[in-house]
Amino acid sequence: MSDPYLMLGVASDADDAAIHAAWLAAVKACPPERDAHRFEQVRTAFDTIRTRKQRLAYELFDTRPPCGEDILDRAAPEQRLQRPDPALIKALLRGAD
Amino acid sequence: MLAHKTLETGHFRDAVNHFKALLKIENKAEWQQGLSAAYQGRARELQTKGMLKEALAIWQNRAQFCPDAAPDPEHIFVLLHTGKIAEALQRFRTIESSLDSQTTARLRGTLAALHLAGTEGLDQWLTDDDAVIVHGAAARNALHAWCRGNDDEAAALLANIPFRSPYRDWVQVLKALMKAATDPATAASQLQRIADNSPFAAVARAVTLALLPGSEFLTGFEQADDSTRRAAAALRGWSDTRLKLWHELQRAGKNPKAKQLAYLLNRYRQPLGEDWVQQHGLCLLIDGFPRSLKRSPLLAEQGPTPFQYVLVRAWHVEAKHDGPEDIFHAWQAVIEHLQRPADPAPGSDNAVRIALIQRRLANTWNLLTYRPYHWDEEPLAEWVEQGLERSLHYDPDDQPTHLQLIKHYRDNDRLKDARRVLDLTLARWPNAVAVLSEALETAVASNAHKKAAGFARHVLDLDPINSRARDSLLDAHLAHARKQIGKQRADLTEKELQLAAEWVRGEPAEIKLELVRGFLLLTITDRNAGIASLRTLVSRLGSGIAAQLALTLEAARHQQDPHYILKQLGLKQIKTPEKTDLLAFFSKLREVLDANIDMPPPLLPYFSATLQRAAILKLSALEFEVICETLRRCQLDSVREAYARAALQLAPGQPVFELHAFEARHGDMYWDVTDAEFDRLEAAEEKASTTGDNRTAQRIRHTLSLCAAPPSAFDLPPDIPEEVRDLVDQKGIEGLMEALIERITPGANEFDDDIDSPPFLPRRKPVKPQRKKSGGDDATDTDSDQLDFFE
Repeated sequence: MSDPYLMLGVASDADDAAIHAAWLAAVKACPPERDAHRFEQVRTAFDTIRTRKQRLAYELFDTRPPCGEDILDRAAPEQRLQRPDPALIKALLRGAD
Repeated sequence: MLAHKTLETGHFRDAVNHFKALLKIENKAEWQQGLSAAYQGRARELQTKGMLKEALAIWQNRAQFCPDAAPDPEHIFVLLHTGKIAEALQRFRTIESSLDSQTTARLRGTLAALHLAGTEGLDQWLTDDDAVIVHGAAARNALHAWCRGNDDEAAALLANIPFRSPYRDWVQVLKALMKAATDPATAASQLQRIADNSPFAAVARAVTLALLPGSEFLTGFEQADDSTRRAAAALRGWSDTRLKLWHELQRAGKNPKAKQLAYLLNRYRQPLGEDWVQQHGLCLLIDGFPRSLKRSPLLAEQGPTPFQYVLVRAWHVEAKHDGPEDIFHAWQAVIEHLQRPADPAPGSDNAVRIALIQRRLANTWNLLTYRPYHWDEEPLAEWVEQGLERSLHYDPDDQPTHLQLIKHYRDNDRLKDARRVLDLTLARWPNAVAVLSEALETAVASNAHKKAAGFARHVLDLDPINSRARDSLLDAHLAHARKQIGKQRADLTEKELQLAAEWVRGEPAEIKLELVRGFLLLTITDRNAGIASLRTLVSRLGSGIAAQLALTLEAARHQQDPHYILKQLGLKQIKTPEKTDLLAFFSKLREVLDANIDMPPPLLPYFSATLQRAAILKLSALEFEVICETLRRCQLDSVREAYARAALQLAPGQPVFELHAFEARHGDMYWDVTDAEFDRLEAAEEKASTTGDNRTAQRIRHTLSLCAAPPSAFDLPPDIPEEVRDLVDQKGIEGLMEALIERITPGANEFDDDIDSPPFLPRRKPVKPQRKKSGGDDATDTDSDQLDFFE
């Protein structure tokens, strides 16, 4: 994911405090020993927009096009691990599409 | 034979046809077995591909056409999964006693999975006391409890299912699902224990996929089958919109074109949000700028705003890697826009944006140190420097820029400017170690040793283990002590030396201090004691050229000639140093060069002869290279050439030594480079490029370009008349050539009236500008031509 705001789950006008709080929450949710890859992504996102100056620099100089993950997460964010309808599991057990 | 061969090579469909044809000829048992094996192979092949209906048809053919063939449990699996429960169970019961325990467990597991899935009609074929029925209720209820979010109830139900139950793998899957949200790593490792051919493996795969981190999940999701995808998407909380959007992105491909993405963003404008689309869509307009702006669906009907236009243009110029001037002007346009309608207040968003752009030009594009290739290029470095200064007005809290400017001015010997920025910086951050360190460096560069000592003390108060400050403080006290020696103030020198002694750590620092003390004795207090003390120090340093360098360097700081001090101490010039001594000498020399310590002109020439003789020592290629680099830095070119040639004996054709030998021979004057030398350097460049030594290749290319470049008046031989020099200065070498051509062209009689004509040039003399030939009669001819030509 290339959009640090989406990665941290904060609004594009979030201030330093909101971003710091989101960072702490993200670290708590996925500490490096549990999900090193995601932790690294979250850390990179935090380092990109942690201060106002960094946010202005990101807005001015980041020219990476939005990736598929960004577009998906922005348009229709996924919820972390949902409980599906039992019918979906049963379909898998039946082995039929 | 052909049928058997086809069967052995796994071409089952062909094998079926061959055996069928053979059986039409004669119903031989061998061919019956072959047909059975071919059907079996083909059915399993289709089964692996998930083509269950097609596989079932083959199994049915096998049962019909090979009635004597042994029943295959895979046939039963296919029957079960295609809903032919009665037939499956009938076949199962027929062969149950002959099956191994693993196959039986797998078949019963499949029955359990189908029972759990609610497969109609299954119950009637199983007895009430069958484990599939007995444990089935708990298994199903546990699934429903988990789906409702009631993990405790699910866990309690699973506890009722014994280990040897056909639902054993299901228990593992559900337990992993319960851990998925809180401990995905454990859940994933639990799921790994489910065998690939387990009847519950499909669920395990879907859950494993759902547990993958973002980008990995998307990759796995793309490769999964539909039912796995649906379950994984549901587990991840994907909405219908998300799934639909995912399908659209799939259609766009892995690396969609900017235009495709722009249309996609436009279609999903509402869920994505207008601001987000505007911000993230802008970079999709870089390609094809400015046409991209006109047609983009992302922009309003009236087109881009002025800010959008200048910003995308700056991005476009950067992306194209246009020249530094274009990049500078493109960003300057953005700055000008940000300054409208009024210059923004310092610290405001627009002010910080301007400061960020100015810093980007200086740092990302290195324009602060940009050196133009042509005299008529714009003074970008100067403008960027002004911009960087101005950035401190817009964003005064940026400490790195303050430090950068101080260092920039100091490195360029603009100490007044360095101190001006330093004063501002110190006022803002009086106790920042980084700022105080810069203050220390600037004070040292300004020879303000007392000030330097003060800053060093301040740094050490804040950071007691700062070795750089400790060394600087020692150096500052020693420098001050030397000043006092110059003023013949032994008392004040002693005082400074005592202060310096407090900061001495290790032998090199101690020797530095003792050297100054030795000169105090020698110069003021007690000459004999001074000589004895300095002799002891030379002995401690090994009595070689490294020791003599340390001594003569210190002498130079006391304005003493190297020959004189060595004579006073009765030290003779070393004929040929030992290898360790030689390496220590160059190590010390590098230290001096790194510290930008001034060396008096007679110092290094004193060692030249000794160093040149030492080029015969057996050194490694790396040692030769380091020595050549050091000699290049201190411009001892004749010595460098000796080492480069010695290295070429060791490693013939080694590009880096070819370069050193060439540079050392010609310095900056390339007008007398021979063709042979030029060719040899070209070959070295090719070799460096081929072997991946890009740095050397680059350096050689630069030198070659200088050789090939038209000469300026500076490059001309010293005996060239002033008029020629003026012409080359004014019009370049092309101007000179044009004048020459006019002079030698018949009918150019009006030539003498031309104010640019060079009257000193001989008329109608063939001009053949070329490099001097190396050796032979040709060389003599060319030389004489050139002499005539310039005389």
